[in-house]
Amino acid sequence: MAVLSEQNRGGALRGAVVLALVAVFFILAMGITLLGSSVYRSTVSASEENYVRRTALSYLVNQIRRGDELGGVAVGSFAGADAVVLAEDGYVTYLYCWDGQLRELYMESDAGLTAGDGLPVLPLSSLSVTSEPGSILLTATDENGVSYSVKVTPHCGVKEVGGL
Amino acid sequence: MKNPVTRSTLFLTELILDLFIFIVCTAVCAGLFVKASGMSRESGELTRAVYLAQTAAEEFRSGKNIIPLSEDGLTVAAADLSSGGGLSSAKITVTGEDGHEVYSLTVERAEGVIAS
Repeated sequence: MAVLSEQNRGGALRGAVVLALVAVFFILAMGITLLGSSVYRSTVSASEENYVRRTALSYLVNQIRRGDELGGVAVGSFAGADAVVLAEDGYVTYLYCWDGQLRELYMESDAGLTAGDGLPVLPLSSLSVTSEPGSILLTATDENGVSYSVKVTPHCGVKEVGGL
Repeated sequence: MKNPVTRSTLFLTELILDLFIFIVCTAVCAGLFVKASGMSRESGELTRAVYLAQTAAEEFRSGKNIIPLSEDGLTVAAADLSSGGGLSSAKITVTGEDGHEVYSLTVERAEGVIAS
């Protein structure tokens, strides 16, 4: 009887150890899964934010450099929003933010198109275009409200034009 | 004849070994996650540093002096490198909070350029 009872106690102890090990497995597995998903979410989110800011400002700076000719670069407004205005041979390109998107509208100077006709480039909350002596200060604000700024100094100067 | 004590001991040993291997894998994965998070943060910091340096370079090219400034934990400083041959050059350096260099660039402008 005593031997049997000792065997039972040993079996119960082994069962408890196995249960404890399985519990440790479970806790570690859950921990690594939660940690992984949290880090993955934050990394993807940061990467997307970074992409939007970098792409928006690089796009605007390169467009300004592309249109950098005498009288070609101007700061103005389009449909009430700040805009970069690039003029060339009777055609004009507006770069502005409207309806949560950075947009580009290329048209004849008197075509009369509206802000909604512009091609969406990428999501952006707002775009501020400020003319400084000889320079343009661009400030892009993403959907999370974080702003990034960059200054561009066109070789041929900056004009200021009225709004459309 | 079967020996239940030996079988259960072997089972426990295997379980403990499995757990050990799992813990090693967990540590490696956690390290990778931490590294990924750090790289993501550095990438954002680099983007900010590039734009700060670019803005300072544009100021310099337009004939203005580069004013040292701090923004979001990044500090922009400039040092005049040389002047001559019709060109002035400066090195713009952006450093992080702990003083490490995040980004730097060298910019040149024609001598005699005056801020408009």
